[in-house]
Amino acid sequence: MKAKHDKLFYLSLLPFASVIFVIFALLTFVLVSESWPAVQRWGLSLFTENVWKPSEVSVEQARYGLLAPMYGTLLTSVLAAAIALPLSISTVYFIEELAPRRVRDFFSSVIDLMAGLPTIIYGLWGLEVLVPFLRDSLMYPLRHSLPFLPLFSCDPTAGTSLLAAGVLLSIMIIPYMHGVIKEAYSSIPYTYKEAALSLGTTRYEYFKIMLGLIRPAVLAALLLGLGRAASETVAVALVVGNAFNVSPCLFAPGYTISSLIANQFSEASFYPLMENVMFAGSLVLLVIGVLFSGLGVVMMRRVRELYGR
Amino acid sequence: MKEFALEVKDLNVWIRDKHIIKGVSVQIPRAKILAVMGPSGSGKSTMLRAINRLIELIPDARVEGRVEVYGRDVYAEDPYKIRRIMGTVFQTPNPFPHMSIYENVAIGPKINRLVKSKRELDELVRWALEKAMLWDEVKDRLHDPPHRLSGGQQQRLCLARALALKPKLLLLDEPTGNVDPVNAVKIEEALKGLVKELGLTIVLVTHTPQQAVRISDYIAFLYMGKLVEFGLTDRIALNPSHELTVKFLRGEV
Amino acid sequence: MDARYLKERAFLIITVALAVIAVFPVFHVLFTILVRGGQTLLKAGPSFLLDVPPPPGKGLGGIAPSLAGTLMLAFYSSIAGIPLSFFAAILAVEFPRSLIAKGVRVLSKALLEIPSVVVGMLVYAIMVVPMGQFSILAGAVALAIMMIPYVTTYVEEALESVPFTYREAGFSVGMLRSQVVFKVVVGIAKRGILTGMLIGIAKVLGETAPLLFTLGRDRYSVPTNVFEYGDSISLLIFDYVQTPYANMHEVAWGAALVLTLMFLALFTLVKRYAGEVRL
Repeated sequence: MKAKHDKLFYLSLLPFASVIFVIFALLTFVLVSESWPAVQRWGLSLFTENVWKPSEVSVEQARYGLLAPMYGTLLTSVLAAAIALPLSISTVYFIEELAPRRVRDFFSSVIDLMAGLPTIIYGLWGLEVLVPFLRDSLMYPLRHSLPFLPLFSCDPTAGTSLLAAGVLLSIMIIPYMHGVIKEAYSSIPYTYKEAALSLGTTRYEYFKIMLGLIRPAVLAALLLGLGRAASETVAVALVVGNAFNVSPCLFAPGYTISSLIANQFSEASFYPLMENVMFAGSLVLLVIGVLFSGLGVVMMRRVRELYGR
Repeated sequence: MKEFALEVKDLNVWIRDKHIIKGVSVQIPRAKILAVMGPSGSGKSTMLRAINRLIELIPDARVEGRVEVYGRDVYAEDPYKIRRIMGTVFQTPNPFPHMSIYENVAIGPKINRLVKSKRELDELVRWALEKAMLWDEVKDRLHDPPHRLSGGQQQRLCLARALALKPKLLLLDEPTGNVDPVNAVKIEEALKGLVKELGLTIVLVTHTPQQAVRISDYIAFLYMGKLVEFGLTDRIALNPSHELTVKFLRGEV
Repeated sequence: MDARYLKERAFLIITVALAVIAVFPVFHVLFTILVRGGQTLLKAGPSFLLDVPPPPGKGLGGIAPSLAGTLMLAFYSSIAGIPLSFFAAILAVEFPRSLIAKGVRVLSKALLEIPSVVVGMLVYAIMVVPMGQFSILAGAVALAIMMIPYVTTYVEEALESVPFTYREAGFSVGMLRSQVVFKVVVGIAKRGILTGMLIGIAKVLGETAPLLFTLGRDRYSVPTNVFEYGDSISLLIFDYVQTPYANMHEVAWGAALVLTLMFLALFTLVKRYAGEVRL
């Protein structure tokens, strides 16, 4: 005979667990049904054109295309991940191989703190401290010394720009990428480390061997970092400049999908279909996030299988 | 009709597709000690967990056959009800680390509502600790956490925890395997006393033939999940009928 | 040999430099918050916590309604999010073979990947629009959703870290499964569980994006119940730093200091409870 109690216990826990399923069901339903009218109205051009002509009066006169925010999301996340990757690898190597125990603990705590600090704090600091700093000591010098490069082909007027967003995001995603790489690094079996050292390697050669052993984890960190960066909202909204630009120039203000939503969703209900356009944008955002982190998780699983964790 | 304290009929256990217990049948009368012996991996612990149905905590475990304890069909009843007539002591001492010594013994009676008052509970706790031959050592520190006790003391605390339920059948899974010799002797003494004074029936899993011979009335010898030999201890110790048993008693398998 | 040696030197210097650069910003952030927020707090005095915000361009006032909102949000989102995550985690650990358990494990982690601003839009669509107005309640629901993945994951891990033998012992003394869970497993894992709950609260305390379209930003009166409009410190910072008024920027910095201190208090508590923490 099976225990009746187990069944009852299961059933009494079920309502709590089902809420999680309900959240996902609602999310899917809301995003799809809210996006649909906009997609129906403008079709694929909603994602391939850069236009933003809201109209309070009629849908006929309004036109929307999300290309600029999609471009901005991609550009800033790639920039952020590219900056953060070498930094995260360095923090891992420093903690795992160089730092004495007490420094290591302190350093780890600092990185935990970085991960937890409210994003609005980064945003405030980014707008008031980082942006002026980047404008005066990075953007203008680059602008003047390498004006022929398309990347630097415009004046950083206010400083709020795609570049500023990328840099701020890179700071914010370091702890996540650090976490992923560190997990893999510390799972490398000790015998491999011994074997590498017994070959008489310098630290640099040793580091290259270790990095080779956790290559999938580095890729995973990159993907998860990209996902994180793409979904970040308020900090980016404060420093990205908020303009519909598809420009190769890093100093130009731009938009990301999430910063567009943060900035305009509150007023969107005054314009027919504008809310729906934003929901379509959030759907894109979700797909990007799921893609990156899904791939990242698959990579991570490969790392764990590799060293039997 | 004679009623056995424990009757196992054609017991088979699989975990996933591994056949762990293969058609084992034993039966013992009341107030006797059955020693289940065999080399490690022979299925002794699994057999014990099939008797008290703790086997069901393992996903993918499947049990066939029949187990009766004091005439009650173990697999026909609610597992929680039937477990209450059995007490179990495990191989590694596992007193609940977040409870005091007192609470560890009191938790069973409290859960099963065996007592009506605090005084009754105090008496039961004392009784159980005395029967486990631990009372004198802990009576002044009943509210200490159990990790302050030695391993052997912790194991006797686990025995007291099981006894506080007033079980009819006591199941022990190599209770002296992780305990020093002095404590091992104490536990063996306690077990003999329980049978003599309270008429408890005991199933003791052990991997040392010496212990089996020392304290049991019956021996069941398991090898690779099969029951090689079962019978009175005196007979098996003097005159084992199977070659494997001879080898095991000599310490060769 | 010399080239190898030089390469190693260069490598070590670069690595350490990069590691320092990686963490330098957070120190700069904390330092700036302390200095600029400290200036505001010193100038405004204790009334910064008790007053309403100033008019544009004049004075500092205070952030009382936003502070109250942040505290209320933390409280109500915990009331909703923590029990839900706790019991869902128990189901996932106790009945691992059930489809629901597998779903809980996958989805509670997937929740982490949903951009917080999208959570805000979801709650806007399912609560704010039907109810016809913003409210503390809607904000708290959005934060509760944000909290679920953290608390669920940490509680799962804490429960699973309890050695199997204690569960067996629990069943062997006649406990029901629920008793084994609540009297034995939760008892042994309480430290880890509490840590998970604190992390959940710390995570949502400073959230901004989920509140943008749910809370309503009434920063001139302290809300008296959950159906009213509310504000949070994070929203106040977000809005004020975008205004052209110097005094409002000062308020934003002061508010940032208050928020950071609240976060640091929780962070230290968590650190003290559990050695290694992933936020």
